[in-house]
Amino acid sequence: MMVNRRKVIQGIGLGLGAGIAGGGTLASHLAFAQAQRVLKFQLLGFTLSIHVPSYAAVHDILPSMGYGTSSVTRIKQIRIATQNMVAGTAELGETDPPTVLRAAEAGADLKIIGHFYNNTTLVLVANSDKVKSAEDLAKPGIRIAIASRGDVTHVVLVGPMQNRGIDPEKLTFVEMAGSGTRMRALLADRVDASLIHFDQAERVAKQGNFKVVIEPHKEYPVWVNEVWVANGAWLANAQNRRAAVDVLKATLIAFRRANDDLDWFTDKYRKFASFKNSKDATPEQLRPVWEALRGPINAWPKDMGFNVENFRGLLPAYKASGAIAGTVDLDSVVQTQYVEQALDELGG
Amino acid sequence: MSLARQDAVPTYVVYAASLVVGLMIWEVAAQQIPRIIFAPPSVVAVELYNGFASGKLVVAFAGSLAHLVLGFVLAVAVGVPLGFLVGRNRTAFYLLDPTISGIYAVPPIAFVPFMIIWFGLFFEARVALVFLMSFIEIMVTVSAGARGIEQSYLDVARAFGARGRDALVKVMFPAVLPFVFTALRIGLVRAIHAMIVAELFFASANLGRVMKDAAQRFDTGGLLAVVVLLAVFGLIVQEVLKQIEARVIPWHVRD
Amino acid sequence: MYWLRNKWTLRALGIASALLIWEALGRTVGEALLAGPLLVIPELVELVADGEMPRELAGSLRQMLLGYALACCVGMPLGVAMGRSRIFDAIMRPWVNMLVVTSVASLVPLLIVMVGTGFGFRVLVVFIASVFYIVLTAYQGTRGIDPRWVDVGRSFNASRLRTFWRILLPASYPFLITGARIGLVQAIRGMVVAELFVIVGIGGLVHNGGLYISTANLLALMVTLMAVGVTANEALRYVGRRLAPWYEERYASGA
Repeated sequence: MMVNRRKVIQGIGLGLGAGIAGGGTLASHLAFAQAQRVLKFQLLGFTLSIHVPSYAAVHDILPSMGYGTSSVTRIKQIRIATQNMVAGTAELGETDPPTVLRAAEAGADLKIIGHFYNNTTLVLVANSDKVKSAEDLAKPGIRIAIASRGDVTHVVLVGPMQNRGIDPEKLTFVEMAGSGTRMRALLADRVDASLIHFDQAERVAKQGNFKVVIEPHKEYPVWVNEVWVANGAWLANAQNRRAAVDVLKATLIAFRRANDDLDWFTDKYRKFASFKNSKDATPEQLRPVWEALRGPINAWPKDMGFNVENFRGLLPAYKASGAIAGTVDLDSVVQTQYVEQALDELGG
Repeated sequence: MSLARQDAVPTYVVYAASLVVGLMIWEVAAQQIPRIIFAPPSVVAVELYNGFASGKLVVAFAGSLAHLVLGFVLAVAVGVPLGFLVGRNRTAFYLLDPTISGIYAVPPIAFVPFMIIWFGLFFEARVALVFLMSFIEIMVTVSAGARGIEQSYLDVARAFGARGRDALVKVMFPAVLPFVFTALRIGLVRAIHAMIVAELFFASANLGRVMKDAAQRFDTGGLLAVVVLLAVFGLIVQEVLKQIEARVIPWHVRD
Repeated sequence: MYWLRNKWTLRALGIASALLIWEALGRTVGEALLAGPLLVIPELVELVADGEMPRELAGSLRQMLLGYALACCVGMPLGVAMGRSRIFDAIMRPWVNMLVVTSVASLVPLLIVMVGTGFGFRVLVVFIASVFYIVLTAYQGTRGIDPRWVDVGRSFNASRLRTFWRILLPASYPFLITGARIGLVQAIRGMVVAELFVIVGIGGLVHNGGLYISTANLLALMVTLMAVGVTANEALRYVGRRLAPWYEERYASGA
């Protein structure tokens, strides 16, 4: 109880501070009605550049909207994060769509309510002594490291292979837990290709003869890598629905700031990114990454670009990779009304 | 005295009753939790039956045993003599102890990225992890036992003329045997852990693969089937070791 | 060559040769796969100077010590009781033997439902990781106590409690200390494993370290854990000597 009370008091302090600093423009009358509610979030392990705006939304923008300091737990494994959302140990969570849809097929009452970010920064880096082009991946003896069959690291490769007329079943996948382990397996020449976030790809390339052979964000017309998820029972409560809309509003505010303002993005990157020297990053260092994210990747669309059809378009790839059986009712899992309401309230 | 009362109920009845009661508690508790998070034993039993009937679990288990056995045998072959040496030889103890204690303190998963460099991702890597995890455990326990041999035993043995090899075979070895058995037990437990960790964290294979696939599908019954299989396997090998111990060192085992 | 027999000289020599081998390996495979000590030591200094790592470590150790203390309080009496009572043995043994091989990872979703993802979760994982090793070692030791000692106690009309405190506990002392040490190592590992699930504390830093190209950061954290493990082990040895000076005689006899 002591801890809770202290947290609430801290929240009030920070909320007031941020409210004054923000000049009250963001603190709508609706947000004040929710005064000092502390939301429980469950986010995934790493904060890469593409994740930065949503982290800013949770940690900085929500408190400025009158919420208490967010309570954030970070979970390494997407599956456990998804199970926790079913169990209700957190109110809002970051997960990936195939895992949520699979959980829904297994009977979980989970709802996808918005994008955590749009598209993906995952790229396939290969040892260029053995792999000159994406077609070479299908050669016998070429080993590709993925996290596990049926998760995003697998599904994201299925489409690009199909685009080239290659049967994805012909590829030799090696399933390995941990993105760090996959990266080192590539460096140690124990696998020939591995999925890496493009934040790391440049640094990996410097370690030897490695190059990017597939950029999924250029292959899929739309790709959804990570989403906001809430429990259906939790959303049945009107106050919780209000909170969900506010979280999406905060996310949209962050998306817009991140798109327009490199200095803001740099500031938040320094604060939240998991990289070792992120505290010392300068806008000029981040500019290439930032240009790619707001430009071709379109990671933070101003209207979030959230609709059911995006997911429907991905179902064939999900099914082809065995990620889902296909029995899921997409219209029941993907709920767009919260993003719509958030957009209405924000205007523009 | 309670001995009379204890003899009234055969211990195997108590043993079985404890298992039944435990399973019942699990069943009732698991019924309160969504299936996607945890499964009751009734579901796990069905999964186990199906897994064995279809042969899927049998094949996976056999594959897992291969690197378990090889890694464990190597660990015993190296760990017991080395533990004895470190326990009895002052120079070896001070030379090796800091490094061994250091390696011992770190969770084996942390070594996985480094083991990939030399052992790759497949069979060799799994054997290496099983070896590393059980070897250190065996060595540390045996050396603690060897260090703890009462000087008085050795003094008495010397007084009766035992020297060198004689003292080793007739005094030290029997004195350290209880610790060797503890070491084998703990080593084997760690080896089983390592077996499954290796299958999950290097390229997934065998039982680790079955577990991972089940987890991926939120099939908690299938996941727990592997967990239960390993637990029962661990239970059986420990009971077997206990029987062997009772025969080899009857003076240690109270009865 | 007296100085060569000094234990500190030997220890220093042992550590120095381990560092040399590590540096040589590191230079062969490169920083991205295995950074040598010449890269890791400056990184470690930086981590300590920065202040974040010591802070996270302190938080991690606090919950580890709580989980470990609980494991000792529960595990030692449980192991001794199992070693002395057939009924209790039959009730507990199947569960202890099964749970000790069960990896905590497979129980994580259940544990989170039970206690959430906060402090309680980390304490519980540490507890589960260490308690069964403490129980098994105590059990193994108590089973071997010479029944004549207990008879002697009885013939002096010692109560059961007095027999426990005066005869059983001192006699199983070497095993309890070994169990405490194995349990501590498992507790430290359990701490890291728990923190790799819910990214916090020193385990959270290890998780982030996996992201960097250079392994210097990861290895600096592993060295930190090693230092913690070795220090804790030495502290337990010291406590062991203070609590039971008679144990020290045997212990030192290895010299």
